[in-house]
Amino acid sequence: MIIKTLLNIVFVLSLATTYAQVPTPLTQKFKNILLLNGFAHIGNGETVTKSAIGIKDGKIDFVKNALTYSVDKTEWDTIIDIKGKQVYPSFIASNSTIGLTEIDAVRATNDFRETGLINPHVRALIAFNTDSKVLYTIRTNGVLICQPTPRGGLISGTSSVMNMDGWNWEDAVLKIDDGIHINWPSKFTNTGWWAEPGEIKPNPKYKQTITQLIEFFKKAIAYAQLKHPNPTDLKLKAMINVFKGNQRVYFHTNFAPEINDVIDFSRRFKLKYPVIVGGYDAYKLSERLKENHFSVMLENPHHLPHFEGDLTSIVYELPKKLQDAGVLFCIQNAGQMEVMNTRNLPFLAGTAMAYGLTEEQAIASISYNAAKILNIDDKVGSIEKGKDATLFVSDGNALDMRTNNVVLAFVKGRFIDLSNHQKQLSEKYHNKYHLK
Amino acid sequence: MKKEKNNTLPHLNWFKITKLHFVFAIFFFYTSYVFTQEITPQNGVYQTNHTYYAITGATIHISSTQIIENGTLIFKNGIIQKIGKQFKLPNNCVEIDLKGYNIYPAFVDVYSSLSITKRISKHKTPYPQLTTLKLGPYYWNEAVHPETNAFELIDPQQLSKSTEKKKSTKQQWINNGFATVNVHQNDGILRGTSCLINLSDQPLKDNIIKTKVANHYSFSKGVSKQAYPSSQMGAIALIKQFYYDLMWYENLKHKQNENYSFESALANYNLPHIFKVDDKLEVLRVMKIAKEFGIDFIIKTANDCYERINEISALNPKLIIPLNFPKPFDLSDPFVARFVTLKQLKHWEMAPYNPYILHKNNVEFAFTLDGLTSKKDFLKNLRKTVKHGLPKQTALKALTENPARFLNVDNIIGTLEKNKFANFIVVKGDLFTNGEIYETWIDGKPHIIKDRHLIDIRGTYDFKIGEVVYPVEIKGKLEKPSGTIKSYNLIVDSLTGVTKMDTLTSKMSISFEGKQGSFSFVVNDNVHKGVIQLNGSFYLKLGIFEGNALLPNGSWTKWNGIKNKSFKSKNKKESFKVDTSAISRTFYPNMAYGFDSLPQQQSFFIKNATIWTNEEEGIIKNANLLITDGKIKSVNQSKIKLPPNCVEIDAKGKHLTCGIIDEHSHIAISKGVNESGQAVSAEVSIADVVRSNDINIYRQLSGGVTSAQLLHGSANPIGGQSALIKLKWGFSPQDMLIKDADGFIKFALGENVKQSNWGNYNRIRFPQTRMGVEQVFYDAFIRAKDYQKLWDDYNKLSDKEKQKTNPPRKDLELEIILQILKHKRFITCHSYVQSEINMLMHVADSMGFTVNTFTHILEGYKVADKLKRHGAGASTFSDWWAYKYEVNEAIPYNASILHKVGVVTALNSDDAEMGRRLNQEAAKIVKYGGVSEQDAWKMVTLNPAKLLHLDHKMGSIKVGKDADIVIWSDNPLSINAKVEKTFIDGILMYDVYRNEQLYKRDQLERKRIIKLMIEAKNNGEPTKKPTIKKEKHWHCDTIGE
Repeated sequence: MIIKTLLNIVFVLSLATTYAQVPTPLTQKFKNILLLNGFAHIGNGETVTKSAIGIKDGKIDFVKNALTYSVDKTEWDTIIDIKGKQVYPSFIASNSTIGLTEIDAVRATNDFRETGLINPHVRALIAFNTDSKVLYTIRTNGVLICQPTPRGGLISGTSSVMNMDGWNWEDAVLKIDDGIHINWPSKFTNTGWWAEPGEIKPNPKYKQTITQLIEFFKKAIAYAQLKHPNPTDLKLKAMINVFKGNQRVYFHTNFAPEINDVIDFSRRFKLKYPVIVGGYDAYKLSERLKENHFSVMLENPHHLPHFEGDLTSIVYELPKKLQDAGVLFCIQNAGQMEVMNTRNLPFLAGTAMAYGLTEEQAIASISYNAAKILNIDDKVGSIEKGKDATLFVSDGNALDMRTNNVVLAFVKGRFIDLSNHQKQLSEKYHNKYHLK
Repeated sequence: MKKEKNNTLPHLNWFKITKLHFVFAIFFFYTSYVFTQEITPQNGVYQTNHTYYAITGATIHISSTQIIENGTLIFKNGIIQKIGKQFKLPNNCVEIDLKGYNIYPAFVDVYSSLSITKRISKHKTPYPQLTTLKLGPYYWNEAVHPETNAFELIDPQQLSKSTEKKKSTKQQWINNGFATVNVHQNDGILRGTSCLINLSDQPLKDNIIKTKVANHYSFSKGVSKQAYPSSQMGAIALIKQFYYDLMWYENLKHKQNENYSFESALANYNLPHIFKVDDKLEVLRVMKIAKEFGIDFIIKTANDCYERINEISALNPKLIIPLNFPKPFDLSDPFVARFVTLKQLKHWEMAPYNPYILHKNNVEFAFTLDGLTSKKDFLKNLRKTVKHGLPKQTALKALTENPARFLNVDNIIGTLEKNKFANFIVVKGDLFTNGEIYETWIDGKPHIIKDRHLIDIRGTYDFKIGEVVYPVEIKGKLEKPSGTIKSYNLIVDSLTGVTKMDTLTSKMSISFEGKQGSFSFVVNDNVHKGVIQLNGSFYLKLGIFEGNALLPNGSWTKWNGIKNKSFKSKNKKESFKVDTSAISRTFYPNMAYGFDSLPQQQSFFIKNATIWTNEEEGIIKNANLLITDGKIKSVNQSKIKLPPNCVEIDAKGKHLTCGIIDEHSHIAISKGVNESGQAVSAEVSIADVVRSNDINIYRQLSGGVTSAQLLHGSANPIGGQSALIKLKWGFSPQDMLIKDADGFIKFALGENVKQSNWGNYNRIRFPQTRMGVEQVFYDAFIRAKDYQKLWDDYNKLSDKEKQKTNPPRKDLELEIILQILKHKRFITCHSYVQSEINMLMHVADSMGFTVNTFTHILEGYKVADKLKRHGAGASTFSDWWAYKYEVNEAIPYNASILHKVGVVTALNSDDAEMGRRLNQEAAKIVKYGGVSEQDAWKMVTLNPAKLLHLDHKMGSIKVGKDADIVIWSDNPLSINAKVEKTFIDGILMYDVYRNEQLYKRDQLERKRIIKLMIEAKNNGEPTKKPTIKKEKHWHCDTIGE
């Protein structure tokens, strides 16, 4: 079954897409793949104009300059010429509910919000639906990795990082239980009713909620000291890796007064890997955030400014501000209809590019940087030797709507099926009306 | 005469009395009827009341314009008999010398609900209430109850006299100088009548001056739980429909059933009409209704009219405004300070100028005590308005003559003239700068606020008790003096013979009433050791106390106290300066990014641009464009004579397009985008509730949007009428509406209209299935046709026959639906799945009209051929799906398939955020389905113009079309594209550079006002913690609870 020919891309596509009506994880037939002549965006800011990317056993073997690299055809079972196209590391959808919901309005399909206030023990991992129809419409735009994340409560739960291709969650998982998520309370609460939102007033429960959180963390630290805890406390047990291992603590919050409190909280408990999720005001506190080794998962840039008087473009400009301040950040897209909207993640980075980031910085903001924040940069995030071959090829600039056209994609060196039900429906009706 | 003495007849007579007869009426009521010919049997002997009272020596303010120095005012039985300079008093006259005091007419509160019992709803379940629970001969809507009479709802407890233990509610009015209050039940849309009461301590019966004095209205349905109306536009439509129903009822030739709501509204129609609203835009909304029905509304509003003073003063309204002003914010934390908008800051500065600005613009107004959380602030705030420019005369008028005239009771209250109520206030000093109200006289009876006769005993004294003299100091408040006393104990050292003196200063407990003072204190001297208690009479002219003392040893002695120094108050006189310097600081709109003054049309010549014409010429490179008089004058003409004052813009490297048109938007709407109370609400109109101060208007401009269809939501199958607007930031709602545009209406299908996602309780309103939705449509159109026939038949009748026949009722809902059938109004229908899209086209075909636009239409690709055949257009999302079950088969290829089949296809936002990057959405159609860039661009410009029947003046770059132009930094479909300039009608509405300047100006403006706030705080004004007003962002699905 080893094909030792120079395949053209159409042929590879046909291999990848015509297997079944339902996109299926493909059985790997090709072990040694060479991608030739594409413009490579490494992810870490570097580029190779005409690249030779070698993939062996699912890992990236090398990235070289195709002009100086001489191809030994015997070494490869598949060589694909991607001249004129662009290669990107997988884009990473951090802070997402992909796989945890199918249809927002249908309660039965929603698996991201557990009841109760403090739930570090609930795990997104086991609810991740590898057969979600939405998932297939996302990866066709270059997003191949996601971080399914529980929502709600004070401690929402524990997220994991998943490849968006696999038979089941065990198969798909990239990082088990990467961190816990804290919904930092707001210092202000809403009043009024739906037609007439009232004023936002100081939250009378703020102090009380923070005290509750502090008490829980104190107990968790004490519990982590026990060698043989008896009886087992599931909630406290779920915190052990925060204090002993590399687990991240994700603080979901936007505004400076709360971020300052989060920093104080993190210092108090000597957290190793604190992350701000949201971070509308993060740039105003960049020095403090850096001093306390925070990184930031920026709120969806396609979001209205939070204050009436803010510059309309402020949200578009936040990535550039954090880049200039030297804060490690990535862009995420949580918000309304976030799951289906994940396919627009490349264009969020594109908008950040239009408002100040360089193209490679914009790419890093949804690949390399995200991988670092999620603690998966040893495996993914850039096209570098030794990392998983989780990457994709686009016809043109993947950050622009008009030219983002993913023609090839790999997860751990495996071709993935780029069809989805939307493409199939489109084809069905193109045929009906005899359209091209 | 005798017959007229029963209980009801005099009341009836009262209302029939014309102004000319009023003098007689007063005489009749107060002289012969109420007092001398008492109806109510008395327990004991009858009390006569022929005594005259005379106020003498005072400065009498007869009205806001007439003052008598050293005047005399005589009244009897609460009614003024004579007023003027000194004259001979009647024999049986009690004289009250008020030399040194000012007498003003007492104030009239024209808007209050003092003492009125609250309304309660009978609805107790979580299920929606579709019909009224007020069963009987009433209007169908529970929020419309013109039959409510305030005089029947008074809780006498709240009007009872203040006692030492209990402060009555009314005391707050009396303390502030109010004698008469117009009270109503402040609940509902048509709230019924108010009643005019005096606040004296007489029995309620004697205090009610007029049982029905005005009709009251609002846009809020109050405690009514009936589903309709759920929005402000619904309330507006309901008021209109009620008035059409009322006219119909009045003209019925034979009434099958009497309706008490109508009967009451008719009976009370000639009373004044008072409408309560919340802001300046609502004032304009009421004035629209006023014009339609010829009702002279008196509008109770807030202190923000200055923001739209030109529009408001042009309508010449009568206003009632509260005397409450925003408190300064405590903005010490700069991060937290951001939560306060520039709008709030500016309003804090400008609100106290509002009365002055109204006065300057000749708008008549009355002040009310309503709206003040702390009624104690009333006088302080009144003085604030005077400090901010309001002439004292106008201020007095706004508290006396205007409210009296507004209520048509200026013949009995409002000024101090013969035959009017002896309602006046006694003031020491100038009421409008620093005077104090001592007494409020109501119906000829005094209510003491401060004791005029209070004797000031404060000062330093020598108290001689027995043979010992003690130095005493009395200070503190006039009403509650406090004091200290010193006693000296001489001790001779037995060894050295040296004398030492111990001084004891002890506090005195003092009470002083009338002219009797008593003191108790501890002394320690060589004679007395222990408690001494004193009682003494005070001789004011001499400044001497004299009386008896009970000594520590239990024996009695004489004492006296001689004042040697009077008390001097340390209170500084506050300087009172009138300052109107800030009145020109209003922005348009008065908030962040508002213009200093409204921008004007200019001529622009834009050269070297890449012009996307959307016409046959396609994209022209290196082209020029001339704009004059708000229109496109020439496109890429080689020889051009530029008009004078033409602004030249070099657009080298830039792209120029026509403005984006958002076919489906919900920005700039006040208080509810859905009238979800009923399945059919064609009668409501978004044009009634356009909100010109929504920041999203400005934000959309920064994304190149120049026009939008503001749609009703999708909560019911037949929603409401749309508003087609240009995003003219700073202009009034009326100026934003596109002139001569066709009328549109929102229809909706699917999950929203069948309330699928509204929780478990909303399973009552028809329809709950797609099957039911079809029937709602058929029913509406068939009813509309029947309605037309009804009128046709009636109009065919001869005049004689009409005299005997009941006319049909004007139905606003069916009239709008009829417009659809007559091709005068066009449908934009919210839709998702193919079955129902197909259904509506069948309904339309069978009724003989075309569905103009299907919006959302995410399964449009499945019926594209049918849409084309029917002639409908499509306005869709580029790539939305998965948010509801019905969008499970929504695909991003929808727009391209529809387009390829030949359906006019537009992309819309339905979202304030996406609305500012519709260019990106258009670019996605290049990706999904390979549509050409120019065709994709038309999906956000020319195609929506076509769908809105505006393509004759918008949607492309063509000579003669509106100059709605955008200059882009790049190809507008590129991810790098940014808007640099947006023009509407040749007015530069947005400019990326000016945007930065406005931002900087706003920051400085904030700093300037924050400085003023800090000063106010340091001057002792109470501050409040920052709060922010959250803006509501509407979507189709935004519904009530």
